[in-house]
Amino acid sequence: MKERVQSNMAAVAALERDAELMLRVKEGDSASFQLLLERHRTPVIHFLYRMVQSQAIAEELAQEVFLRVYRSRATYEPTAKFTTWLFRIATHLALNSLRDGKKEKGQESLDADDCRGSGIQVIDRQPTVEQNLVHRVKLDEVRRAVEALPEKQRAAVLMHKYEDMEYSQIARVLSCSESAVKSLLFRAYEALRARLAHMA
Amino acid sequence: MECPLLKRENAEVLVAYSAGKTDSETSRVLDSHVEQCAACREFAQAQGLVWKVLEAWEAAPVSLDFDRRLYRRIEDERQTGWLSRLLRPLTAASLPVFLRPALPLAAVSVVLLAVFLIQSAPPRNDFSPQIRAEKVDVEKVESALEDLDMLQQFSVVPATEEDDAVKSL
Repeated sequence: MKERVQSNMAAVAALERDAELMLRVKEGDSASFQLLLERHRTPVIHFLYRMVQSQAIAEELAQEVFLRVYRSRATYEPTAKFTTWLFRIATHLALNSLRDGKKEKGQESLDADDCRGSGIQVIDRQPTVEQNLVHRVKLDEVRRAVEALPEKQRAAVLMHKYEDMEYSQIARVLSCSESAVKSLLFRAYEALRARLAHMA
Repeated sequence: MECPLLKRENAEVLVAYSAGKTDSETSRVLDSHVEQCAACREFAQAQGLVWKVLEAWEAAPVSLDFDRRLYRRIEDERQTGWLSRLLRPLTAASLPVFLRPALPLAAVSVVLLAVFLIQSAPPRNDFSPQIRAEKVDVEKVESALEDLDMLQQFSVVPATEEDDAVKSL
């Protein structure tokens, strides 16, 4: 309980920090923009990567996200959580990109991921070639299972799983009710359970 | 407790439970239920597997030049004129996908509308004398001339004694 309270307090402090930084950006402080970029760059790119499943497109979209944040600095008002606003922009761009068919079907191979130093290869344990292969195959199945989800379900799962967002925040990002988010997540996990059951 | 799987709304709690996102009290109640209920245990195990498998999916690291590229774009934007910034919302990239195919159609519609408006607009008043003469009613002109003649007749004043004196000089 104490840990949860401390965690919540830390989260609140982080949120206030984001809003404070953005207000400083509004006043023309570019160093605050750099701090915001450092805090949120990786989660935004990772979210976009898992949405569009292409690192190049994810980074291109993330550039657009932060560019829009910068453009909107003059009109920024801390009425909502900064991360809600940020992920709303990111989700909007990702959905547009998916609908646009921008995603290259061939996309980056798993080899490309490995070249970029993905954590899939655990260097310390020196996995064998066979272990690596099995891991790649499993990873590919996960990617395909997530890719097969409807776009909104996919976004909800990614925010829930990787960004540790509350239902209420996901609801605000996706502009729907909290119960709709619960329903989206339930259906998404139901599909993932069915598709990934054999991996037990 | 009632089995959460009996109702969809309650089953959603099992998702949160399997993800470790329920509060300590709910977790405690569900712990004891899952121990006794085979269906919920199976659900929780399957959901736990999904959770574990998703955790294995790590994203690639961010490019080292990400910030540099972003700042270059910001700088490029600063240098673009105000007109480009003003028209940005109208560019294809800023429009929702479903509206993009309509962009050329909208442009053609605007041109056609402009042509239609120009053609259907009432003719401009032209004040050149020729055109005005064409519009004048001939009968009215004649009547006006007759009136002038009549007025001239009335304006002939009989000569006074003073006038005669002047003439005699």
